[in-house]
Amino acid sequence: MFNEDVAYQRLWRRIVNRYAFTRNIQYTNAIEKLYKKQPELTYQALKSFSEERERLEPLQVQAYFSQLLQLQQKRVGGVDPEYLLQILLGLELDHAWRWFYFGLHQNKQQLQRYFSSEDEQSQALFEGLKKGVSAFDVERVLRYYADALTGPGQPLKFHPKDSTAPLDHDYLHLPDRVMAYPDGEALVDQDEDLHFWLYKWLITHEQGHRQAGTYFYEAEDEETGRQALIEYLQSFTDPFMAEALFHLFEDVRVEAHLLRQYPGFEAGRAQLMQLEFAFRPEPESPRERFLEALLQQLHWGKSHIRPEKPWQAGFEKLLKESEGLLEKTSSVSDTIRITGLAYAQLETLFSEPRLREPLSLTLLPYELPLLLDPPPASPSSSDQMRHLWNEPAEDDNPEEDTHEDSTEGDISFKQAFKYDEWDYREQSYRTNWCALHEQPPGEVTAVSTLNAPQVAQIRRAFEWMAEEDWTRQKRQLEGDEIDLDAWVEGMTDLRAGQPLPEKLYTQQLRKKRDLCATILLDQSDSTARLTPTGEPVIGVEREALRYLCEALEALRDEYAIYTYSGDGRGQVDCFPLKTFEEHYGLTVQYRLQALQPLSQNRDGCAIRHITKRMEMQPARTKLLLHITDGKPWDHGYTQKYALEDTKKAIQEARAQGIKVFGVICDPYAPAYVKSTYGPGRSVILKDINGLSDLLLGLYRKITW
Amino acid sequence: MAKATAKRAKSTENTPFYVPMSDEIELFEAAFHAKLPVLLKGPTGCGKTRFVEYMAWHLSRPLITVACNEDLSASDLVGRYLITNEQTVWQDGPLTQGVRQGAITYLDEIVEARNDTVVLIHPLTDHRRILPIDKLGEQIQASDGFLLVMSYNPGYQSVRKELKPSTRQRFVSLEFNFPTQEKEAQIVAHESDISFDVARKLVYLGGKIRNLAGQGLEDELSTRLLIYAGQLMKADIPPLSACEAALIHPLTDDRDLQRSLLEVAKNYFG
Ligand SMILES: Nc1ncnc2c1ncn2[C@@H]1O[C@H](COP(=O)(O)OP(=O)(O)OP(=O)(O)O)[C@@H](O)[C@H]1O
Ligand SMILES: [Mg+2]
Repeated sequence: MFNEDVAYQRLWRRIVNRYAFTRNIQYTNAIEKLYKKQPELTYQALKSFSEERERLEPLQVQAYFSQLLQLQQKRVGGVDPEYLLQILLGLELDHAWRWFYFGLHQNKQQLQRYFSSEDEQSQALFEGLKKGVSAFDVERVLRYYADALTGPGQPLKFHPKDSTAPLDHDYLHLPDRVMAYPDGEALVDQDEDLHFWLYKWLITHEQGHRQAGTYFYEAEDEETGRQALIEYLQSFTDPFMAEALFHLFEDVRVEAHLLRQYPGFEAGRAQLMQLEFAFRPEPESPRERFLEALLQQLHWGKSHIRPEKPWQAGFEKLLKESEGLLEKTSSVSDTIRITGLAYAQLETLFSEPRLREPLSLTLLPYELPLLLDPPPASPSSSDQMRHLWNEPAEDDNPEEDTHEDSTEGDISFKQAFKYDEWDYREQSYRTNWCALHEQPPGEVTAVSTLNAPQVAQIRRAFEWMAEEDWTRQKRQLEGDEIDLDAWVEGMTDLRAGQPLPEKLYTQQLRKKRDLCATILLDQSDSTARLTPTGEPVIGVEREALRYLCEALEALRDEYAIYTYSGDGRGQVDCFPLKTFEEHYGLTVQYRLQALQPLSQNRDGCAIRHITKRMEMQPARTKLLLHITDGKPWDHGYTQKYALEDTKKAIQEARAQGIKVFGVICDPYAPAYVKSTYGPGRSVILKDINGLSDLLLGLYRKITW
Repeated sequence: MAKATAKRAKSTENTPFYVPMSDEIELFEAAFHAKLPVLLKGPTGCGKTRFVEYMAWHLSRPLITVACNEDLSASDLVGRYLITNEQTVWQDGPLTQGVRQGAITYLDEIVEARNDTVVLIHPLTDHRRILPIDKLGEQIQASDGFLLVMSYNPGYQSVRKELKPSTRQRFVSLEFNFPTQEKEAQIVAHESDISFDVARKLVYLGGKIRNLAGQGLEDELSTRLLIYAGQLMKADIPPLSACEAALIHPLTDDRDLQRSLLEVAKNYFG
């Protein structure tokens, strides 16, 4: 009987104190639950973890316990907590979760082994993740790349494979590299470039299909063309075989097309073929052998294997026929013709049974959305980014908005500002999707005192900065100095019998800064989190904002302060703490002092509102300073969906000439949160107590 | 003092190289004969300056070019008195020279000039075609061959730099854009003295990069930059480095975007 309650309690308390993440009740509960079910494991986990503690970040700690709990719930035995910890220490958090989910989705047998340190597959994955590129890491680069290739008309939609994207024909699913080559030891040592290259090639290949008209078989549009293809393939007794052949020949045609257009792919492709063919499985039947040889010959120009004697003549004939596919003028109809030919040949040469399931005769480890029977959706789909919000998995599908029906008829919805929201999966807007209300901000009747010397210092610094904006204007009617150029010219005129010109002076004039700024603060409940000094984040923010106001006053810039929170798309609240018209007086200070954590945050909508509010401002330079924890989170507004919408809202603001900067108050914000704001347009705050300094410095820098 | 150099012989030797995009040559010629001032609108580096050079040659007129900037004063354009040996002498500014000589007078990037300078040209743009010179108490009538041409880059959309409608509506406007790919390749090949094949690759790459204008890239890629890339290649810089230096880095500081563009470049030059 395990009886170390005291030791457990002590350990647990130490950890809690150390990381101060007690606010997250769910975790405290999770550990307790785990402890009740598996005291030994929990104890062991806590212990091992506490030994390594100086190297772990709070998010890692949370991940650790969350993973243990999930494993316990799935009744996975034989878990080695040490091993789990090693993974966490060895990988980026993002990748550690990837590794974890990959394990969870193994079949029963493998699942039991995966989380013990003996399992080779899980170790190989670990090694791979340490070195590899994941589609997620390079997604932004790939997206620009795809946009450049396709042009604005018809964006190529693609997703990292395990994203929440629907598995349909519209989307190209990028595989995870490691999963693509499960036994690809050789790949692990390749340079990173090859992995990236692979993603790039997949996108280019898919683009090639479009350009070369794969989906326009006897049709003017893709939809009809695809349907026509399906009907054609289904007319065979063995549609799967027909489809496999079709893909094989069509890929050959498309790749020839691509290489003509993009000669730069030649070298990389050759390298990839080398790798691909190193890993091909041995064919098991004469027909398989025939097909494999065909595949190698067509793509590689050579082959490890040849069909057996009796079938060689037929083989050569097919190769000869398919040469036409390499012609510039070839079309999908040519592929169809050769598919028919090949099918007939196989039927006469072999008497093997028809295929029961799709056969892949494509080289690349991706699924060109299969024409027949799309594969079932992967079970892992929506879990992928869950860890970002440190929440245990729950049903939270942006698609199903709980407020969907209730809001439309709601009066509050009607009186509100309505804003569209961006749905990245559809690559389109949901119109009038959110209702935002401007609410009167809370007020208190007293305000804490700021540090007087600090205020004085800030004022001095910023007043000095404002003075820097004085410039010397030439040819003025009056001024403190003579404009020599004008004077020489004037004297010359005088000699020539002209009157002396009047504008002979230079003068220091204040060049108007002509700038207005809005500070937009996320007031959601995440701001209740305690900082290491025991103060809630919102408290730090309150104070930092007041110091910033002092600076802005000294600069005499026009500025406004808004905060936001809300509860679902029908109830996005926005609080004007200080409008552009209001002065920074006691009322504004009372409002600042009254700031308290509220509930959710739907960032995109709030940003759109500020964009609208700034539209009317006459200043030449407009600035939006967004202070957030980088985790937009609301009902039906989570994960990638929320990030993408926020990004879109920022782009919209930019299009209106507003410069948007993000101050991300979460030291563990993953790098891609930064990408929401664009390069150089955000800072991740490592120490929340440094917020004030950071805001002052940032403001000075970007408005200089 | 520069005096009118009336008709110059049209020499075939130094014909400026110009590839027309559509009917701009005819339009310009018609405007010239009808004495209508011309505004060339278009993004930077798309051939406006080259076009004016070509037209000046084609119409056998001298060409006077003034690059406008914030400090350009009315005197800088019209002229001023100078002191020489105890004497004061009037010196014509470039605009006055153009008016007298009957030259094609090209004010490049007119939006850069101060508003009080810009209004000076107004009387030159209507049927009177006169240039008042206050200091001389004179109004000069423009010679026959005089044509006022200005350029303006609308893509420059900063609130401060816009051409006022009252100025804009005094001109016949010719819109310039990037040439077709075949023509642009011809231009790039000629100007950077590289093979047509390489030039065409550059232009195709340019087309892909232009796909990102407005969705990531703020500025359009100019023909000029493509020529620079070609010139670097001609000087034996490896193609990808040439692309980075001439096409990618001048356009964006965004690292991801730079990488994406480099990947596109590799498709052609990798
Ligand atoms: N149609 C063309 N024919 C020949 N050369 C061209 C043509 N268009 C562009 N070029 C080439 O591109 C270069 C840049 O063009 P140019 O200097 O005329 O651009 P611009 O429109 O005047 O640019 P900016 O607005 O920056 O002054 C020229 O030096 C020339 O080499
Ligand atoms: Mg294919």
